[in-house]
Amino acid sequence: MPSRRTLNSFVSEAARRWPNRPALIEGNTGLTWAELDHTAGRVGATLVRFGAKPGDRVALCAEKSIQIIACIHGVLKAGCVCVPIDPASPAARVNAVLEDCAPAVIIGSSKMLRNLDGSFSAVRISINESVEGAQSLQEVMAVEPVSSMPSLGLTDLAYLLYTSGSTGKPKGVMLSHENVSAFATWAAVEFNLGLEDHVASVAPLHFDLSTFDLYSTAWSGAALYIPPGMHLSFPVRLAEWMAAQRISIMYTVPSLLAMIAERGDIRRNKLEQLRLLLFAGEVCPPRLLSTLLDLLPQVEFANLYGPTETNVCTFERIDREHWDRVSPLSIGVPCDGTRVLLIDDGGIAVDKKGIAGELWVAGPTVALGYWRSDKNDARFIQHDGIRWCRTGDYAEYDNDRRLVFHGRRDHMVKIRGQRVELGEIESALLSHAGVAEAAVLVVGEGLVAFVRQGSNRLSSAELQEHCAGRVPRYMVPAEIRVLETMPHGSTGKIDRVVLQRMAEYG
Amino acid sequence: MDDVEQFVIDYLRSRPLAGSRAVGLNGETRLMESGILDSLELMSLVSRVEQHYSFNLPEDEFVPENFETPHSIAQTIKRATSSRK
Repeated sequence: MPSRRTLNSFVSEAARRWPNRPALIEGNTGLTWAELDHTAGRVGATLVRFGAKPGDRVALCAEKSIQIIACIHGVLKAGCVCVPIDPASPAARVNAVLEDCAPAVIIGSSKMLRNLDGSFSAVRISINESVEGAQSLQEVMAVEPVSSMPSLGLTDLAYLLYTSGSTGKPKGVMLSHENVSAFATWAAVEFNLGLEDHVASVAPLHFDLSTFDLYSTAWSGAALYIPPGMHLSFPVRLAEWMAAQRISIMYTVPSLLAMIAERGDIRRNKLEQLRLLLFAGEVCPPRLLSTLLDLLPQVEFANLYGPTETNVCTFERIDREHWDRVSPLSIGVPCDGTRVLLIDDGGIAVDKKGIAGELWVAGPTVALGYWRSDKNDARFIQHDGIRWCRTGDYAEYDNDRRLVFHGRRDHMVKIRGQRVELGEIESALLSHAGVAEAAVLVVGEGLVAFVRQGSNRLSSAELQEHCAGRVPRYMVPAEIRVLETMPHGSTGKIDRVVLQRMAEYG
Repeated sequence: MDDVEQFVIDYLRSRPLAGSRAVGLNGETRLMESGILDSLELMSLVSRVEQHYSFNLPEDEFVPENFETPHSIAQTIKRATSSRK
C-alpha cells in the first residue's frame, strides 16, 4: 500500500515529476501537469484572496471541461471542500444542495449562475462568459499565485458528494482527503496505471467514480481525456473517439458499456489500445459482460463495488478462463486495507457460504459521515473498537469466499448507476398540492408511481412535470398512475406488494 | 409532414416530461438543444422506432446529425428501412 497524501498535493507532485507530460486533453486543447498545477494554483490563490478558509465549501456546477477540473484542483489547494453539483439538475435541487452546504464560493457556468437564486451570498466565479455579479475565470487567472497555501491533514474534509436522500432532501456524503486518496492510489497500483495510459473521463464529476479519473491519473502520470458531452449519447461517436484518442482505460457504469456493446460498432472501432474496463454503480448483467468479453478479447475487466459512503471497498477481476458466463458476477474480495463483515438480522457475523448478511465495511475509504445529518449514528457505528459503515446491501460468500451481492434492505435503487431513494421521488410527488399519498416502485428497469389524489383531478403529465422541477430527469417515473384509493396493509402502511402486482400485471 | 415524421412527433409528445417542452414541437424542433431528448430518451426513441418499423438501425446511422430534429429522424428511419428492402 503506497503512503497516502492529501489530494491538494497530487497535481503539484505530478507537475514536479512529469512537468511536460499531458495531464488533461479536451478536443484540440490540453494542459500538461505543470500547466494544470499552475492554473489550479491561481484558482486556489483567488479563493484565498476572497477569504475562503480551509473547510469552507466551494460548489462547482458546470459541464465537464478542463477549466472545471482545474478549478476542483484549485479548490483543494486552497484547503476548501469540493461540492460538485450535476449541472443537469433542476434548479430546485441545485438550490437544496446549496442551502445545505452553504458554500463560500460558487463556481459555475454562466447559464447556471444566471439562473441562480439571488439569496445565496457566496462569491461567484463564471468559468466561461462573464456574468453580472460574478468574476470570470479569466480575471481569476490574472491573480498571482500565493506562496503559502494552507497545509492539510488526511482526515480533513475534501469532498461533499450529494446523493439521493430518502427524506426528500439530497444528503451530502463527507469524504476526507484520506478516503479519496486511499481509493485512488489503491486503484492506480492495483491496475498498474502508468505514463502511457490514456484514461477516458466519462463519469460525471458529482459521481464518486470520477475520483478515479482525477486522482489515479495524477498519482500515476496517466493522461485524462474528456470526451465531447454529446458523445455519451451516441455510442458510435464515443467508440470512434475512444479509438482516435487511443483510450486504454475507462471506469464507468454497466449501462454505458451496454450502449457501446450494442451500438458502438466495436467490430469496426476496434479499440485496440483499450486494456482495462472498470465498472461499478450497478449490477452488470452476465450476458452483457459475456458480449464484451467476445468483442474485446484483449481487455481486462474488473467489477468494483461500494456505495459512495465507502467508495470502492471490494473488487473482482473477471477471470476469462473460469467464469461460466451465466452466474451472477461476484463483487469479489476486499481492497487492500479494507475489512468487511456480513451481519445477519440477529446481529451475528455470518461466516458460512449461502447465508446472506448485511455488508459492513471498515477501512481508509469509509466516509467521515453525512453532512449535518441525524443519520450518522445509524449508518456509521463502532463495533469491537472499529468504525464500520453499514452499507445497507446484502451479500453472501460463495465457495471461494468471494462476496456475491444480494440486493438492498431499503428503498434505494440504482438507475443507470445513479443512486435513487424512492422516498425522494415520493416526497417530490407529495409536494404537489393535489397529491394525498404517493408510492414509487421499480418495475422492470423503470420507475412507476402510484398517487392518490386529493380533491383536485390530477393528470400523469402534470405530475411528471412537477417531479421534473424537483428531481433529476432519471428519477422522474416513466408512468404515474392516479388512484381514487390507495391499498393499505394491516399496519396501515401503503401495501407495496399489491401495487407491485398492479404495476406488473396492469 | 409524412406519417413517419408524425409518428416521431407523436411519440415524443407522449413521453414523460415532454410537457411544456413539447408545446409547439414540429418537424424542425432541435431536440437535444430544447431538452426534449437526452441520452436516456434517445435510447427509448430508437428502441421504439425499431420495434414499430421492424428494423435495426445501422450503427453508423446512430449519429448526432441524424437525431437533430423529428424531420431528420424520419429521414433516417426511411433511409434505414428502404435499404433493408
